[in-house]
Amino acid sequence: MPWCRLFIYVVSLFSLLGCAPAVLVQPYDERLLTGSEQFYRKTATIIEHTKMQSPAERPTTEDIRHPGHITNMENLYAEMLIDTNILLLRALANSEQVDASGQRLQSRITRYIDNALPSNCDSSAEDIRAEFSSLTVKNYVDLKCLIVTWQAQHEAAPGKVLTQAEWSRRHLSLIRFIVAVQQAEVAKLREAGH
Amino acid sequence: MTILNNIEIGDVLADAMASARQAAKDSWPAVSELADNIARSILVDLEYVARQKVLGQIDEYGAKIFLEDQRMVARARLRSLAIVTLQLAEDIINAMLRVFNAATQKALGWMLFPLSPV
Repeated sequence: MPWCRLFIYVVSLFSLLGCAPAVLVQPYDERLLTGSEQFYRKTATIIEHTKMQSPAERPTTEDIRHPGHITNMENLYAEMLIDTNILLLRALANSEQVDASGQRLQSRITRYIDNALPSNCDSSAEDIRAEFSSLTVKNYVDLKCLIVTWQAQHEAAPGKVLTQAEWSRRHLSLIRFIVAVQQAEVAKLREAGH
Repeated sequence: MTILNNIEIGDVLADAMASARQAAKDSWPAVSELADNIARSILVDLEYVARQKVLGQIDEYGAKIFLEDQRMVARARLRSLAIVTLQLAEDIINAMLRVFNAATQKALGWMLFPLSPV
């Protein structure tokens, strides 16, 4: 009977594959979801506060006493970086749960994205490590990179001060980034609820 | 109807495909929304920079740092699209395994596929 043969064939195929449930993505983590929201709230508050202290126009000279000068912002950048580290550590804690097939697929996707859109940060040190990092972990590596880049951009800005419009654009970038990582987590939540 | 070991185990393949289709149907809106979003935002950003330049509200440095940030946003969006898509693949595989697991248990009395409850 062809149906019976086909069934036995499919059963045998799953048996050969190992038959454990597939874990292609890092499982849903509620603390990562709420942690990202808290990160947004704190960082957005810093951005809006700093925007109010920043000039509307690009300054022509450097004034170290200006409240928006990089030297007056270093503590805030350090705080933001610590907060991204907390999220990164949380993401790392669950990354080992991805199965071997998932790890292979995710590593290929990471290579593709790195080639198509290289990061603003040097990832050579991370490449040497040669350990698997899930796509979820990579999202938080990039969130940290966003903050590292913000500090470098601020340092390189004329007069070492950013304009109000630039802080507004940073807020937009932050919203977009957090929405992207939340969409991935929320999609996992939807599936976990089945 | 599929008969195995003289026991009727139902239309296994049709059930498996139905489970896979349902898993795909549930996740597709999220995949589609993300893909749409990525494509639209690249165009919107370039239009925004061009408009701001005409209005004199963005200079070269402002445009450079804005687009640097958008590169990181685009990476996160692509990755999230991949996560949602892989999640969809995972759901399809596991939905099919559950159907075959039930059928095998019914026919042979053995739990061949150790699936955790979802």
